[in-house]
Amino acid sequence: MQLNRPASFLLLLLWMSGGIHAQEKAPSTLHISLAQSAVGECQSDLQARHRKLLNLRDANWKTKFNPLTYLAVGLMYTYQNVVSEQISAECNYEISCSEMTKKSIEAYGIVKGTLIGLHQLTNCFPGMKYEHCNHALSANNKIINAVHE
Amino acid sequence: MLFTNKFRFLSWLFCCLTCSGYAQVDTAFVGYLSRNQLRTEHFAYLGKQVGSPGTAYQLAKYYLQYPNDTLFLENFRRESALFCADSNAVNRASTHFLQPSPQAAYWFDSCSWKAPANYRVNLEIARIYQAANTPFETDVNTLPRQLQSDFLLYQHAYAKKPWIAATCSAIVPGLGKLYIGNKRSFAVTLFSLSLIGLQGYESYRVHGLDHPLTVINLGLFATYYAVNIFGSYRETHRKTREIKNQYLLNASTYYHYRYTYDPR
Repeated sequence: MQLNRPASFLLLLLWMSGGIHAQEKAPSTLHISLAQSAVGECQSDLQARHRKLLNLRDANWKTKFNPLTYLAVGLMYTYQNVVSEQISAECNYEISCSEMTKKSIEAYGIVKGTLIGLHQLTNCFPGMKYEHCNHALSANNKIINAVHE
Repeated sequence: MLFTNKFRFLSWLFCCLTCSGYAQVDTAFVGYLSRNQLRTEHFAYLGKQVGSPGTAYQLAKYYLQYPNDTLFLENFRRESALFCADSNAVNRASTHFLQPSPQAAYWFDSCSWKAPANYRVNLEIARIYQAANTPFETDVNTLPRQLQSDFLLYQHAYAKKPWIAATCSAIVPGLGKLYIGNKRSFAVTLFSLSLIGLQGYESYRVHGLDHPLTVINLGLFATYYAVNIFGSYRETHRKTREIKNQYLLNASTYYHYRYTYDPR
């Protein structure tokens, strides 16, 4: 099958990002688990390694059968696994903006979920930590946030 | 390794030897296990005593020391009279439930009042919890002096209405955030939204309304504007809840330090 130039470039880019990703994960699972136990890797990091594409088990039928849900969550998943890892993005929040958007869409549907995610994105600047109480900051100085309030 | 030192081994040996012989819980031994934080031995000892009188009371205290609210309340219900006779344990439980917990309301509404009325500290803590639920019906002077500033802050935050914040944000972008006290957030929102608005206006002036750049810029502006209104509404709820939790946490810390828990 003949591919046109932009499509082949995109595929090449995806393949390269996968290659870099694979190099980072080169040590065996035993080594990773030993390193995790030694360093004491936190739960959020472990969860970030095993991100799920979609979890609509508890969602209502409107969310389940809305194609826009799949599109938005798919875009977030692509961002997390391709873009975010390349730019080594660091977030002020315990749950990152993209993860928050994904989970909010799963929980509340496309409109409210997107608004919640965008609200977190617009509130993500360095001084934001000072507008939270002490107990709302975690040990690693990140703002503790939750999908369900 | 199970037995890290000889004390742990001796405690375990004591558990094995005594459990089969006596039906009653040895409170002195439980106190020793609790003071030295020998959690495994403590649980093993109480686990073997299940069914004996006083075990549910001791298990309730165990789940207070190593927090598990559900199991604490389950054991409390079994021997609530015995537990309520221990003023130290009741105060400790009330202090613990000041911290955010789904079972806090149940404890203060249904269990805490079972304690005798002369438990002054318990009554004080219950009043503090009640004040958090009905801030305008509480006189700030009835609370301890160290907690009054936190309570006034909470009262101030509780008075803020989410729909007013949303309306303010609709009039001037970010004003709702200033209304609830987030100055930095207000400045960032106003600056960035003005920038996007100016960009949209500029592209409209130069290229006209049909140009894709204008459509993108104005779409971005409209989205950000909607998010700003929604965010102000949501942020008001979050801020009030956060300040309430901080007030209750400070109260919990205050009582925890003031009345040090003695597990005996």
